[in-house]
Amino acid sequence: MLFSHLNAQSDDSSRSTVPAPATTRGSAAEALPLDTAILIVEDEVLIAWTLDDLLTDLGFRDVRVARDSEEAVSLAQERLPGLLICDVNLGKGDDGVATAARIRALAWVPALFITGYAGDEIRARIDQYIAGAPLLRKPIEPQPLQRILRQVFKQERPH
Amino acid sequence: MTAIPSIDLVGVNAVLKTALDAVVVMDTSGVVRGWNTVAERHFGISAMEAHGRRMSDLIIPERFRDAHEAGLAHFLATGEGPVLDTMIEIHAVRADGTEIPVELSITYTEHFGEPVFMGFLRDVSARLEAQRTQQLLIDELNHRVKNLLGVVSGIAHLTARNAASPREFAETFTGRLAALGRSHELLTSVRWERAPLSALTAALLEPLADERERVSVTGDQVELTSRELIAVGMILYELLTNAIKYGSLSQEQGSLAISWETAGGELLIKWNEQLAMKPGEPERRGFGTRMIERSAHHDLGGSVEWDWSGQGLNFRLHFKPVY
Repeated sequence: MLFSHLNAQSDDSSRSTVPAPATTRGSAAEALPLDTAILIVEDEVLIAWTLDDLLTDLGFRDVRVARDSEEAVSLAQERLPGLLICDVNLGKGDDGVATAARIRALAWVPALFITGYAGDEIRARIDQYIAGAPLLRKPIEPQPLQRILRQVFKQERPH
Repeated sequence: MTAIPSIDLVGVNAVLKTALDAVVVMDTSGVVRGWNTVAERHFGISAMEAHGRRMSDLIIPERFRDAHEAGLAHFLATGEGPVLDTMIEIHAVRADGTEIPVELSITYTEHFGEPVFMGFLRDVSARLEAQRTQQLLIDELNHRVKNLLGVVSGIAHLTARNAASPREFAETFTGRLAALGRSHELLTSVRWERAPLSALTAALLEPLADERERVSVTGDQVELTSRELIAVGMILYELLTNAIKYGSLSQEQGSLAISWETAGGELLIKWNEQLAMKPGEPERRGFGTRMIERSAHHDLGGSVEWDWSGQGLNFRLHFKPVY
C-alpha cells in the first residue's frame, strides 16, 4: 500500500492538471460526485494533508483544509462546502462536532467524522448533534474512506 | 447537654486519640457520645460541640438522614443491621456543608457499660481524586498514542509519494520518525509543558556533533508549547536534511546559521546557509518544502519566506507563539 503512489505526481501545482492514476479510481469510485466541495477540519497537519491527498486521488477537485473551528466556519461562510469531514477532537476551541453543527446552522451539509478512538462517548456526542453521522477511525485508510464517502453521499437532505 | 453523661471510655478514648481514622461513638438513641481528634479535623466539629447532638444532624447528609434513623430503629427492634461490621462507601457532610466521600464501618458493642455503635470513617477524597487523575492521564495517553499513529501513518503516506525507491523511502521515513521522536523526548522531559527552542535545536543538531564549527545557533530565551515545538521540530528537521543532502552542509566549506528573535509577540526564526559554490533554486517542490509551508500555516498560524538569491538558502519562519 505504501508504495502504490511511488510514481504518482503529487505536487500541488500539478494537481489540477494531472488526473489521478487510473488504478486509484476504480469503477466504484466513479459513483462519487467528484465536483463536491469538501472541507476538512483537522488540527494535525499531516493527517489533514494525507486526507487531502487521498481525496484528490479519488478524483475530488475541490478540497480545502481548516485547522480549527474558527477557520472552518470562516471558510464555510466564504463558500459553503458540499461535504464536511471533521476530526472530533480539535485541541483548542470548539470540537469537530460543535463545528459541524455551527456550519450546518448556515445550511444543511452532509458530515462525516474522524476520530482516534471511537468509544461510546464520542458516538453519543455526535448523535446528540447529527444522529447517525458516519465515523471514520484514524489512521485513515483509503478503502474505508471510499466506503464511508459512498455512505455519506446517500444521506438524505431533510425536507 | 451536660445532662447526658459521657460513657466511661477512658481506655477506649486513649486508643481513639491515636487512631488514624475518624472514630465516632453513638448511643442507641442516636446521640453522639464519643468523637476523636481525627473526627474533629475531618468534619470541622469539635468533640465538645458534637457531644450530646444527634449523629444524623451532624455528619449525615440530609438525603440519608431518614434512612439512618429508620435503620437504627429497625436494628433496635429486630437486631438486624445490614450495614454493621462491613465497609460501605458513603458521603459525610462537614460543618461548612461540603461533602466528603468516606469509607465507613460500624460496629455495635455492649462492652463499655452501655450499648453503643462505633463508627470508623476514612476520608477517601484524596484516593478518589488520584483515581480520577489517573483515568484522565490514561485517556490522554490513549488519545496521544492514537493521534501519533495517525501522524506516523500520514508521514508514511506522504513520504512514500515522494520516494524514488523503497530504500529511499525507508531512509527518509526513519529519519522523520527519529526527528519526531527527539521532539517527543524533549517534551516528555518537561512533562509536555513548555520547553525552550534552544533545547529543540540542540536535540535536532545532536547527530551533527562533529560539525559544530560550521553550525551556529543564537537566539533569545523563547519557550514554546508542545504543539509549536513539534511543528518547529519537523520544519527544522526538513531544512536540516535538505542542507545535509543538497545545501550548505553538503559542501566542506559550507556553513549554517540558525537564529531567532522576538518582536511584538512574534517569533522570527532565520535559517541562513552559506555555500562555497552557489547552487540554483531547487526545481522540484518536494515533501519537505510543502510540509514546511503547510505546517507553518496549519500548526503555527504563521508564514514562511524562501530566498535563494544569496549564497545559499535564506529561510524565514514567522509566527506568534501562544503565551
